[in-house]
Amino acid sequence: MEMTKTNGFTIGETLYIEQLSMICNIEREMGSGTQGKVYSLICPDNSTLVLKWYFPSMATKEQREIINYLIQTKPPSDRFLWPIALVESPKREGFGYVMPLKENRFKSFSSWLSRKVDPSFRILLTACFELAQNFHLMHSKGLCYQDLSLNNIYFDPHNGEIRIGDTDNIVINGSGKGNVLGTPKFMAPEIIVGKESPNTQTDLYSLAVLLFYILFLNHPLEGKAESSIRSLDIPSMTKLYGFNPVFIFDPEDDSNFPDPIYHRNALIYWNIYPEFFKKQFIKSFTKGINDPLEGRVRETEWQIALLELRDSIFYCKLCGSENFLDPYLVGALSLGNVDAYSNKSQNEMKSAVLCELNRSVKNHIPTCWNHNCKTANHKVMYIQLNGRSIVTLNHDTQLFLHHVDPSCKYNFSYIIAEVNRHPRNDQVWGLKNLSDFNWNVTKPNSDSIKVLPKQSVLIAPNTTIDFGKSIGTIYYLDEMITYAYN
Amino acid sequence: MTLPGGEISKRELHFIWIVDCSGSMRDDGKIQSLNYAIREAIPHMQRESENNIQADLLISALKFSTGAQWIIPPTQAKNFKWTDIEAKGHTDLGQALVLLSEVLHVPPMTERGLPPVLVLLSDGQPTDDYEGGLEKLLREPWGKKAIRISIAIGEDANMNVLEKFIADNERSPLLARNPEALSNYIRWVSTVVQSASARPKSQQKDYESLGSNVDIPQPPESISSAADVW
Repeated sequence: MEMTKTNGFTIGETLYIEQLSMICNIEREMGSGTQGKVYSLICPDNSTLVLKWYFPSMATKEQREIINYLIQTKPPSDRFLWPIALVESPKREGFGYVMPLKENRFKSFSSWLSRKVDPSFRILLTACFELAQNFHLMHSKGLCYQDLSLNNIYFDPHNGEIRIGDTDNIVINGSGKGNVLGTPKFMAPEIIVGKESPNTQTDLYSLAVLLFYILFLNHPLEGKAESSIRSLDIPSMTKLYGFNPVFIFDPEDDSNFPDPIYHRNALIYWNIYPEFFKKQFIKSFTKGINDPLEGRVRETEWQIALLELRDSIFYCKLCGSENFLDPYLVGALSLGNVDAYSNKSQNEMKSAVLCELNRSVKNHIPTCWNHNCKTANHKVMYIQLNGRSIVTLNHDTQLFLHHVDPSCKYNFSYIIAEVNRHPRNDQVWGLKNLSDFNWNVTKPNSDSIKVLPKQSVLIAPNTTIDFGKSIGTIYYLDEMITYAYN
Repeated sequence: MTLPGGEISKRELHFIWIVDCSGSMRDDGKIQSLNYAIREAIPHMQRESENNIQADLLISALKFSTGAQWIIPPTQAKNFKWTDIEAKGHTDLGQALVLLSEVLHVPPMTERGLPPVLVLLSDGQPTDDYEGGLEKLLREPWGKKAIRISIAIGEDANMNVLEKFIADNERSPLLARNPEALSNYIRWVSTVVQSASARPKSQQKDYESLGSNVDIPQPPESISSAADVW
């Protein structure tokens, strides 16, 4: 008589994890994937871990080597749900591994694409930045992820913090190990057509698809070429995503332009983001499709672009919606960058700048995207740091070490300054010094003053703040002309 | 302030149960097991569909005994409720396939869909011209492109007929020898096969997808047991 053979664990079953010298109990089945089943485990100290147990066909020697390697290698950051220990059981076939539990505050990005959560642009951009940053950290260690898709990353809709799951497909780039090809719609065209196996460059493609999905709520290759397909089956998908991939906003080929009904989201969001940012996607899905090695946007480029975009958010004065300035158009026209006019006479220069600024202000402070609002003529205050990057100054703006210390890029752990109101006058806004150092503040036609920690300085155009390692100048888009040139 | 736009646009995915409720399904509680297994699978099916951003799952059901009739019209997964069926009469599979072929073209099918999933559950021998019905079904583009799965309930089912329904040499009908196997297979089709149509899942290197219309993962390892209850 053959026994009924189940691969699964039963609830309450005990499991000895030798590598941790710990006995745990199976709490419940959390899900079942293509590779195995996932359970939660109760540890002796009442904490929870997660067990992934491979299906017999997936419990290969190679997979065991991958897990062992990952356990020995430290995770690139705390955002990865990294294998902690390999697990075997005398009663069960195969093996599994334990990893940390993903807290409930983390939601799948699918919940955003189905609009079940309601994050802001700032939170989405924070999550996207964390994705680029953490994939950069992983790739820097010579590792490649192989199966990046919407299914294995999570974010906290309240602050944008991310978690990266399914880390058991991570291998040394180029090792040819692992059993996974990727997830349809996220796989690079060169994998679909059979020219390449997953590698760092194909990860970059998947990352760009993921960022586009999150920020445009549409796939970058799903335009009218997609909506004209009646039955999206394997042959049609192979063509659309593999043999004939055309970006929906390809500037030179409109054969796959978005359909106004099915791809409405893509059209809406394309009109909201500034040019400098959209250029990264144009590059990713034109040059980046044909030239995997040189054409793809690098993670460090994504990090810079995503943070610049996040720093350019301003709120509509009427409805409060988040809109974006184009920091390049604004930055290039502010005081620090008028070198282009320096060989002209003083008056010529002034009028050229004035003319340019008027055009700029008119064209590049966008009208609010909210259809019920459409407010124009926004006035935006911003600070330009070291004559280069700009940060809009909103009621809730905070400046971090990242902004003022060039040796501490991407350090968002220390707040250096934040916008606040004058304690006795609601109409007056200041920038509060939250650092441990004095600021040197200068204004046109006056002596420099010191702003001590916990003190605030009035936010006024043409105020220059020396933060120590950076100098920032405050500008007011709209009245800047008067202040800059009188 | 809520961001603009709406939910990502999904493609319609029709999932159709085609259920044999001929008299023989009364034996050994088969029809009760089937009703129970589908009810057990529904929450898993709903959860799978909720996480699927590619597909808008519509579930319907068709029964056949003496004649055939729709018992559940296309229903959103989250609103889907099973109606217990009773066993009585002949095994008019042909009529069921004719009924099916009538809905598998545009309209009522959408202009923009995913390959439908057709799941045939039967325990016996067709009593009418099933070949004529099958031919009609496979002539419809959506019928031909559909993922067709058949599950034999017990050893008496005509495997040859169920094989012809699948019309794919690579795959065979699933033989459910006992209620546990039936329940496993029903859960598998309602979750794994559902998402295979939309293909949101990781693909393994050893998949042979060339030439096929939809990748179908391996069914759960077949459970064979001498302690068959049927």
